[in-house]
Amino acid sequence: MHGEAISELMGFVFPNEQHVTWTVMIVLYPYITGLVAGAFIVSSLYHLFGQESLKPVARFALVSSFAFLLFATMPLLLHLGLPTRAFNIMITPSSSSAMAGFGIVYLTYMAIVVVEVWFSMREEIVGRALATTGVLGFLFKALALFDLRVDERTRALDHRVVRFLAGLGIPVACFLHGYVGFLFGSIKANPWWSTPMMFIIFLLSAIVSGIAVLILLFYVISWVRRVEVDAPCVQTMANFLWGFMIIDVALELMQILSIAYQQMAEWEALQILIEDKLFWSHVVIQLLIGSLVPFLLLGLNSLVKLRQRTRNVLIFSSSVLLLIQVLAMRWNVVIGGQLMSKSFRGYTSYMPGLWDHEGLIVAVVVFTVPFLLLRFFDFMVPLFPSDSAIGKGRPS
Amino acid sequence: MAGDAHGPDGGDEHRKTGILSFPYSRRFFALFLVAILGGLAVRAALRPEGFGEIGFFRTGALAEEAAREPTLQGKGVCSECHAVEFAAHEKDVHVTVQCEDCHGSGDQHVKARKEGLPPEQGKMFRELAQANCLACHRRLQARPKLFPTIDIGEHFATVGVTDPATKCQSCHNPHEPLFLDRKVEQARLHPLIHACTDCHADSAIRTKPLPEGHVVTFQCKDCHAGVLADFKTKPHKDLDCQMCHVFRQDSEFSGRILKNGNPKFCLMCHQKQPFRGKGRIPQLESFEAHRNEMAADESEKQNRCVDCHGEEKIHTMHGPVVSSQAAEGGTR
Repeated sequence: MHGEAISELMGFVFPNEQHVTWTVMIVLYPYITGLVAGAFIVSSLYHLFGQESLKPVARFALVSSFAFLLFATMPLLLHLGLPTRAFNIMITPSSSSAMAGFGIVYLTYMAIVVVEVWFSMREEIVGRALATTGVLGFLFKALALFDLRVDERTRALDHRVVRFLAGLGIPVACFLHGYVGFLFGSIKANPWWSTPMMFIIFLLSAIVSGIAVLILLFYVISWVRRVEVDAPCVQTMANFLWGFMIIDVALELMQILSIAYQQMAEWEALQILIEDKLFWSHVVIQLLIGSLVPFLLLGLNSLVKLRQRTRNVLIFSSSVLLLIQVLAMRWNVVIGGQLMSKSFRGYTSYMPGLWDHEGLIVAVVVFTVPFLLLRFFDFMVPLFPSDSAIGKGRPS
Repeated sequence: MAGDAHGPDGGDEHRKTGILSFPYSRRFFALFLVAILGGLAVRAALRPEGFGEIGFFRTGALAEEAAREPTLQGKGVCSECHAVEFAAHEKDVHVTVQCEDCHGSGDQHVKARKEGLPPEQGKMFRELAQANCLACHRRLQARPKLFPTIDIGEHFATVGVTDPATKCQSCHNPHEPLFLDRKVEQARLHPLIHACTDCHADSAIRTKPLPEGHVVTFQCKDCHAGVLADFKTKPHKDLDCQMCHVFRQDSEFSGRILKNGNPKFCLMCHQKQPFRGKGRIPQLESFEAHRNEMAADESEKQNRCVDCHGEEKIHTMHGPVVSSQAAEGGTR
């Protein structure tokens, strides 16, 4: 409380509602978790659903999912006053605690991803173990569990394990992110959150953000390595991105439309929330810039014959816009739900400070670390298949 | 070639290879099993003793919690060393607010002082920001109507503060916010009164006439019409009665009027301060110097602000309109 900025109030706000307690850290939590689930599903599209054109990005998607997963709970821990107590939900989980449920889903998913990453990367780990000497060489040998055999039979086994785990991982990934939606959707006192649709909307927006971040990274890495972007691969991702974003945005709009059409008491308050308090972040950024523009751009990309260079511009800009759209959606859900008073007659306001404990700089750092970790993973073991253009362009 | 077998149909011819056919897969799954068992063992080891025996908590927690030293000391402990602040606090409107509500829990502070440790140790949090005071005193529709709340911008405009970062305690002493010269409980009983702003958010409503059919409310003018008429001709006319005659609600029907003749109360607005604009509100460099300069004899050197300026600047205080009140204690 000491030294905090004073929020702007409008109408009838109860004293305990002036201050938004779930900050930008709680916005980042579903955002990063969404990237985990989305990236994993892209990987599974190749491993499980036969999307051959996604081969260059499949393993990278899996490792990205792992990197994001490692930091998915970081914003929550930074938000907690006593982060060590978070482990109590693992040590003594309560059956009536939604968050304890998340702990179990998170751990299960982590186990699946760790095993899948290891089997999917084993051949590269062995390659590094054979090519490296000294302490690093020993570490790679240890990571390969001192068995450096690679042949058709081991590849077949690795592939079977990866494929099985991809199949097992899809429902768990859906649960992982759907569960985050459930955490909000089950708060019945808040009409902005309390809907079973929240589960599905969170899941679909997770897939959208996961595909978008992979497209973005794929472009950036290709440009850094000065290789041509794998056109069929990005085109497939762009098609999936377009499809998933259509369903996602349609559901987001249907959710609001259903409340508006029912004209329940809460709509009076939600209308002001959308039209006034969240006008920029919801109407302008989430719906117009973040949804309508990429819908048109991706539609153009999918339906019209274009030069690859134009396609790249369309796909890249759509990915960036959709990443912003999903971030805005998380912001609008998490922060929007706290801006409205339970009296339904008043609103508070929120803007994170730059250098606050839970401020923008910390948020940017938390969001950047998984990308740095990915770079480190790629430095240790190549994340792209060596027979792909992007894999060949890897700096030595 | 890396990833050759990573196709959706790749490796079908090798289906017969068992999952534990190779040393690496056996080692990996053995390690995985060890990790799971290890995790379960760690969880079992960390599970607190007595957990779940009689509910979703540690049985021993009850005794442990009961045995804990309280961190909050209570104002009685503070009064042992801070007698001056305590005396001021006890007679003023913050009497029900515990010292530790603003200063934080005092256990470490008390312990350090008792052990004679250097002042840097066990130091208490003192500097209060606007947000700390506004946690209670910010104007909210949801607050009890008679609880003193402000809109900071409006308040600063009224009292002539030009620096928006000015801290509340630059004028208000949190230990004695109103500088009352008697205990709160000794202030005069008064029936519950209403102001337009109790129900209306816009403070400009005060200047508008009551519409026909408006619900009957008990207001200052109902009993003190003469005083009010006189007040409207004086320089303080733009202020609410309750800005000086703070009303403190005791029950659903009555409360106490905390009107105050303490010069410190007047000086909250009239003391010259660097953060206050010039011109609109008359300001004094030094109250004592002013009083000494204006006093005709020794007895007048004890005068309060209202003794000289009351009739002229505020409202009539000794006329027939307020004679019954004057008999009870005048401007106190």
